[in-house]
Amino acid sequence: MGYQETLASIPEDARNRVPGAVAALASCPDHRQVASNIEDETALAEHHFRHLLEDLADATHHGLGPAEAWRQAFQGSRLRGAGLPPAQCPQMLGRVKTLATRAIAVAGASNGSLTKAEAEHELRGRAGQPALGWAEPFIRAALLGRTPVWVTFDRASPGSSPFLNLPPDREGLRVALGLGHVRPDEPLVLLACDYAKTGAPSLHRPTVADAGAAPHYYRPRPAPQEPWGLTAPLAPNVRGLAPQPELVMPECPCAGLALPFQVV
Amino acid sequence: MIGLEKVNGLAPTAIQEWLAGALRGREPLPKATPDEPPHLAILRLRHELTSRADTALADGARALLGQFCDHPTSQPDDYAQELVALCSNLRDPETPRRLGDLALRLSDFPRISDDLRFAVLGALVDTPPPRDVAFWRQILGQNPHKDAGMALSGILAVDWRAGVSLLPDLPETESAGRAAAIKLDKTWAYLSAEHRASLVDAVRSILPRCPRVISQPVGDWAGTKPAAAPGNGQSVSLLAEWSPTFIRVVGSRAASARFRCARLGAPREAEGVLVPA
Repeated sequence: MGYQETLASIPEDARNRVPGAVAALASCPDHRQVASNIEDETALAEHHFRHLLEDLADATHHGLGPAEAWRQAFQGSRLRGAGLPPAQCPQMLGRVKTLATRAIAVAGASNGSLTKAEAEHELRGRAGQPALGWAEPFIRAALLGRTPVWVTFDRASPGSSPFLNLPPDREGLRVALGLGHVRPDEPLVLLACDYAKTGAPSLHRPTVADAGAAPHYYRPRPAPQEPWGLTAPLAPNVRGLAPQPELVMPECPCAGLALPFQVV
Repeated sequence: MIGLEKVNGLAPTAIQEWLAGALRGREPLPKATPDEPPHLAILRLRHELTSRADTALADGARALLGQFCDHPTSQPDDYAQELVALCSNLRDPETPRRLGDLALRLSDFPRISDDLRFAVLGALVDTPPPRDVAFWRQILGQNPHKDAGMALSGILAVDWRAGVSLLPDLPETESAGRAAAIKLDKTWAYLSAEHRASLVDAVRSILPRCPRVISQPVGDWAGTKPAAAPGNGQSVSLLAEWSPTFIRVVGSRAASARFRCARLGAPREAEGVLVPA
């Protein structure tokens, strides 16, 4: 159900406040995309979308500014997009993170055994290798990401690493996956994970609530019945890279990490 | 860029307040992925800030770090870890000094979480200038089991011989052994060819005195590296033989760790220590 239909279905006092809250978001340069995404949202089931809008109205009613009101509202509505039926879940998931973020996760998983710099050194050294060596328990224990974890997969070959059909270079990955804030000089880590070995977490179509406070490169897919979202490749996309499927899932360790992983 | 217009438009005094909120995840930031830690997005934003705003941001971070170090248990853990990580990356010379003072008082704050404790010590390892062996020996004295990994990193960074001498006293855990191999590999990567071989020799010499969970991964690591020509590293081998005598005399493992740090890291001081043995 879309924004207007959902808005029409919530109690009157909330219904009267939501448009003002959305307009206030639209007036902030840093939240303009949130407002646009709320109006274009199609993946939230009706009761979840209602809940999100009512929370936004409620937070606004309590005197919060638009940014803080949105922050409070989206927290309770993450991972509420339509779930992917188990039979349709891809066998291999792909995740891209900055090397710095991954190193922090690995250092954290080492429980004081490694510093961030040591974890980064090890990640660089193990990239492209068929084994993880001494770092294996730390790398596999490190979270794939924080909830909601954004992942992609290969539509044509869901049992293969999605990176086999993506550009191998950093710029190509940035463009295809819509990683607009990544600087050209920031190394990226490419993690492909076996879905079953990762614990077969629930997979959901992403929504504006999952994009949360970082909505700037998220675009709701117009068709509500589609089981997953699509990335918005960055302009000018001179190579004509196709949008990639995207899903969100709860956080979990990298137990199913397929080797080798890559740093580009 | 997200957040840029806002921060550049803030008065310098307001930037500190903005920074405190941003580190708590309350401000829109140019995150690479939505789950990226805030401090990394702040560092990204910093590339685009006006010089005035950038200076104010650095000043604000310094002030917030001062508040944290004065009252380290008064802030939420996530915020404090983000702040420490940010300050570590800003390379303010004040940061290692403040964090170093706090690290030496960590035992005064039993409520500090392990994660925050490791964040502080890890930042001290990763942020130049490196602290000396005596500093890390004090850290080790506060909590030899919990802080051994960070202390080993800190000591290897300034005196690899002293670091190698700590290996027999590491906690007998698989994690400690694996981490030791990683730390030695990183140390090795930054040494000249001559010192690399000496490091490998020193490690091989001390392996018989290490518990199996340490000697196995460390030995595997040493086995992947070429050793020195005969003769090099002999002094370290001798010291490794002397240490057990000292351990028998003094009796405690903590004392033996301190002895070996002193002997290998600060020869003049150690000469005096060795006399009773």
